[in-house]
Amino acid sequence: MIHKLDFKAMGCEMMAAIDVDFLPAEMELLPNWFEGWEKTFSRFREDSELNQVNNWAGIATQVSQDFAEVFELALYAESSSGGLVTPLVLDALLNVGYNQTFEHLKLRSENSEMEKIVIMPSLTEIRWDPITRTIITPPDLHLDFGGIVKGWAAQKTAERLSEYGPTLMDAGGDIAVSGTRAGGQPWPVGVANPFNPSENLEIIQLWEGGVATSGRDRRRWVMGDHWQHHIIDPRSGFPAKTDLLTVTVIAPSVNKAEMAAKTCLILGSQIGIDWLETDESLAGLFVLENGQCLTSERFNNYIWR
Amino acid sequence: MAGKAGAKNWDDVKMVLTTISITATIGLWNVFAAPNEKVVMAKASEPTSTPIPTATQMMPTPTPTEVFTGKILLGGKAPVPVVIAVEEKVVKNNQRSQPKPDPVGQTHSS
Repeated sequence: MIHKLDFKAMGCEMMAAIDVDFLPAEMELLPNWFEGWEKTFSRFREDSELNQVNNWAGIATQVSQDFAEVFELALYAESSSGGLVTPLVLDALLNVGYNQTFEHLKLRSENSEMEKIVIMPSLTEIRWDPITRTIITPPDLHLDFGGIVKGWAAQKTAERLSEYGPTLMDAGGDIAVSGTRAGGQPWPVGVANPFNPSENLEIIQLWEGGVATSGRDRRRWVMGDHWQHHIIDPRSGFPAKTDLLTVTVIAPSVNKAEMAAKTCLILGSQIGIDWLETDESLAGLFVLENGQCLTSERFNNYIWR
Repeated sequence: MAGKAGAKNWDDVKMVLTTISITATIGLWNVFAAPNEKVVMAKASEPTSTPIPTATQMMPTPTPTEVFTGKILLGGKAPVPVVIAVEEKVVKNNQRSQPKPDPVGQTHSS
């Protein structure tokens, strides 16, 4: 029997599902877990640990275990994506107008001063000691884990609840499962149609790992005369110019899925699908701006029939 | 006593007459039925026409009704066996589609 819990956190709708006969009391703690993570990682909370690290440039700061895990994950994402997925896009996001939570962001801003060039820093400029969890960031370098922290939280939750039963955690569209449902059945997961999010393009089956979607269909706004979105291409420092609207990737972990989806989106459909096919653990569904859909060869293995 | 004996004899006569008439009837019937025998046998051995089954999968194999080959003593037309094939609708396994379940979660850009 599947028990569900819906709540809001990190500016998104969250949903946890667990396949057990009796609902574990631990489920009620989920909103508290996410509240704690938001306090650690939100760039919109002045007292967050992230903002402390960003404000204490040049000073050695010992970070929490969660912060260390996410920073390590960011290092992995940057190296796996060839530098396209990086936590160092905060200044570029501010430059294009993403300076407050999306709920409060003006969808149309007359300010068009975003054309200044942003020089993208590199993670190698940060001194990091994983043993003591000590970090030293140079001045003018600011971290933002907004692109990866929801996936990490979904993964963490699924792992924690797995001792009670098979779990699916949907953190604003980033979905992690702890394993198959009771009876060995896969989890049915919908892939939203970006042109009509209330319907699904496909129903996929997840036995393990996770699935994530990256896109420029939701968090977008007008600045000056141009549409902007939150997927920054570190090569230019501006929102990625891509023919893709959304990319959905299935992977052995939701963290890897999130990284791969963002990488493909920035690369565009042709290079993106070639890049995806090089890794046998990945499968993807691309939706182009013109409505056309592309799937990788392995994606068909996941379609619910 | 004599009356009783006479009645018994009359019964015997009636029995004899009945036997004779039945025997004669059957005998004469056979005599007149004989000319039709060849025709009847020929018709009985004709192949039966069965409806051609249309595109079916897993058509049940019809068991042909045995053609009667014995003597038909009473003449007339031999019964024509009719095989009726009932089409059974069978859906191929790979065309059998289960209804898609309600998704437990939905992935979308965030």
